[in-house]
Amino acid sequence: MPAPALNAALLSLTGALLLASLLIGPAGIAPGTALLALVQDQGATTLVMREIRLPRALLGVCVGASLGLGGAAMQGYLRNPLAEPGLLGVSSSAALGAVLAIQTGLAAAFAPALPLAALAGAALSGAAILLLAGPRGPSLTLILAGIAISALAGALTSLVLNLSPNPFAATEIVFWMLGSLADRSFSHLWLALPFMAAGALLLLRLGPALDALTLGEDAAATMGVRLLRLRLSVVAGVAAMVGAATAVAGTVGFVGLVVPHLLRPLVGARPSRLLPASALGGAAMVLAADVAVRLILPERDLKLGVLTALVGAPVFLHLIYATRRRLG
Amino acid sequence: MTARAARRIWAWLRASSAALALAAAPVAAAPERVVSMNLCTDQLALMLAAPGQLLSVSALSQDPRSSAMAEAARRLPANHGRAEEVFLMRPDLVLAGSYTTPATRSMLSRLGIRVETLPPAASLDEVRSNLRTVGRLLGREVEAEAMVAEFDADLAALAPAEGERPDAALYQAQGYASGPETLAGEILAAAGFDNAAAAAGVSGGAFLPLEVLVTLAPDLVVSGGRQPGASRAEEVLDHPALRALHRSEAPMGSDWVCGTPHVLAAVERLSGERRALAH
Amino acid sequence: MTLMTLERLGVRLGGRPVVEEVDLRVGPGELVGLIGPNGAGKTSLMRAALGLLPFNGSSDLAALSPADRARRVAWMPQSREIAWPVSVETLVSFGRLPHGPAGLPADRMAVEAALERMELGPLRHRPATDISGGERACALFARALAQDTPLLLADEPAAGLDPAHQVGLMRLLSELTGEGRGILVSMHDLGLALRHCTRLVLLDHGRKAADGVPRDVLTAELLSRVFGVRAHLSETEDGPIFQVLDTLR
Repeated sequence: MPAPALNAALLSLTGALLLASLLIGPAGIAPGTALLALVQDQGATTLVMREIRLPRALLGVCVGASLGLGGAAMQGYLRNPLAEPGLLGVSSSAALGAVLAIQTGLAAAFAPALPLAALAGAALSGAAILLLAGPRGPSLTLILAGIAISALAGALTSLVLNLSPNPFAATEIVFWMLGSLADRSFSHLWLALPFMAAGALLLLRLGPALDALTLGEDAAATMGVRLLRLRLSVVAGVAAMVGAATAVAGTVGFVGLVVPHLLRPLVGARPSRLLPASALGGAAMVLAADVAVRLILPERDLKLGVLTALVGAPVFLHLIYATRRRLG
Repeated sequence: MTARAARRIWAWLRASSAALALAAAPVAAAPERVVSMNLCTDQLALMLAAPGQLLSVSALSQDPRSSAMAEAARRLPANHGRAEEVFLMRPDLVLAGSYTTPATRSMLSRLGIRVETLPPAASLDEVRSNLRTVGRLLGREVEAEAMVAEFDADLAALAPAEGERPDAALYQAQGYASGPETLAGEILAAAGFDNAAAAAGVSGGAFLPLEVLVTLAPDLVVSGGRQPGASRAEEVLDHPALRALHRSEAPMGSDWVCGTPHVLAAVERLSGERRALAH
Repeated sequence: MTLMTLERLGVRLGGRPVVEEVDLRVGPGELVGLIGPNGAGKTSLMRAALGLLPFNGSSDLAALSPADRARRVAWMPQSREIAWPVSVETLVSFGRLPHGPAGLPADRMAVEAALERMELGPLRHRPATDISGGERACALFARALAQDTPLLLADEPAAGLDPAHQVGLMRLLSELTGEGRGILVSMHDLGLALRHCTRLVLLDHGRKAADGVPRDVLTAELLSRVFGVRAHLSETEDGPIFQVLDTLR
């Protein structure tokens, strides 16, 4: 599919889901009233639309784009379709950073400490993955390194939350493991957006280098790619995007796996074209999941990660099946 | 089923109901060494026990954020709900709540200690019955009856005059709303408010999406008190959409937690806010 | 004028010297065959010359900035790695990455020319991961061609090709040098090297054992000392013929 057509299709899909996200909610506001309330003050309805549904929908776009783009960049760099921020422990390390920032009171004293700490967690685990598995590493090493880092970060997150004097802290382990966009406000969006934007700028420029890397590191290095700079850019960009997304929405898994996997055939498998397409596709997937949690169980705060895992885990198993020779 | 088997079961049932009747009868001698392991039984026991009768209360009841009687509780040694420490105090009666770990309760029973479990009060009426139950268990029936009478008198004095009943919502961390059929809901009603969550179909406790609450637009929102440390669960209470609603000055503090006469303090404070709303 | 100048180049891998004191120049119009037994240091020499390995001595290619080097020399590594199932045409177009934003007419022409030269027209829309090993080598070579550099370094490009493609490839290399390019290519087939290369460089235990026109390098004495083989070499109407007869050790 030609690039403009594909991106236009993904953009309209994201737009339609954004609209659905604005119109669907437990309050049961009629679509016409809802849209009118967005632009014109209608009291409580306007409050619902502007302060609850709009930030939630926009955050869904940003979180999804971050996870999709982060996944596509990691896969392109590691040259492995199994590379995914959630599976490799980058998201859970970001969650650990965020939980530490909240529990130490750092986030309350200095708001940007929350995304910054998540970014640091994501960067540390991202660097550890690259060191452990290496860009030439086989899938098995990659997945094992990811399991170890996820388990460690998850356990430390639970430990920190269990040690908290706050009685609610322990109950939100689920949130950090599965993610949710419920009741997020514009303050969360403004907190995460600068980091996501910086990460996106960094990652979207890596297209040509990731294309060259298709031919291996040696060939890429002789095609003008600075490998060290590329590696640092990938770690920094993925950490900024996934860290900021995790800091405000928890760990939403499998988006970075499923979206690039589904879109790869449509972009002719080119890593450079996969980057923007995955950002749009990720936004659409998270918006769809967030609409679905509100349709399935509107009165319960069903976690986003439940739905993305329902779609993502089978894709993951299929990929393992397809690459089992390499895994062995 | 054969007739013989039926007869045998019938005999067994009779025997066990006789045993139950025996257990329900007032105990001959009042317990002398009582340990309470639950925030709410702690407070009931502190109110009713004879001097020296109560040995220990739970550590939670010494924390003013959750306990309405922290000061009184601090005069006794604390326990942390562990079977071992409770056993070593050599109690002859242990008071537990239904949320006390079942394993701990059954462990203590196996060790030969009498363990009595009280459900949390879900209504103002259960405040009365809990007072009477603990009074009976401690052999302090007379004190308990006096306290119930005082409670009834105070509650009647606080009863709102007929007239306008504004809407209020009880909204806590994670968007948990208390409906009319809860202790908190009855406190709200006693203070002269209608429960806004009832309009959204909430009767007991339920998670109420923030946008539903905003659409209900209650005249007053009463939230939970802030806990130490930080949590995401409480972030919803800072949401700009919630801040736009009228918020109660006083949070749902320790007075709201347990079914004791302390709930009257909460009723009184809320009544004051209702009168302020009317102006 | 030279396209590549190595002076006293040395490479150590794991503390062991694998290339020592090699001086080498490649100029325009030269097709230099790099020969030597397994482990003689051919690949290490070329990778170090490109700046892909740490080395001592000097290499003018390694001194260039990555962007400038990518316009001076194209490198075809021995591993025929293709990570994603891109089409053959896309794969070849990756050769244009060092030339700035894609899609210029010059880029299209270079890609078309490379596809045509390697006779990849019928395969252009096939995924590059689904074609045979030999076809894959051709596609990767076409990628290096599309990079359109004055100098080309290739590590055993003929390995795994059928005889027709081997000869075709060597003829193509000759053609390219005829256009003024310089080529350094490592190879094991001494017969092909003798017939097509303008010059041979013989490596032995990391050191340069001989450097000159093919007939002067493939002497009985050097073949026996470096390769440990005895060979037949004769001039015919069809050019020189070289055949290894037996091992000596």
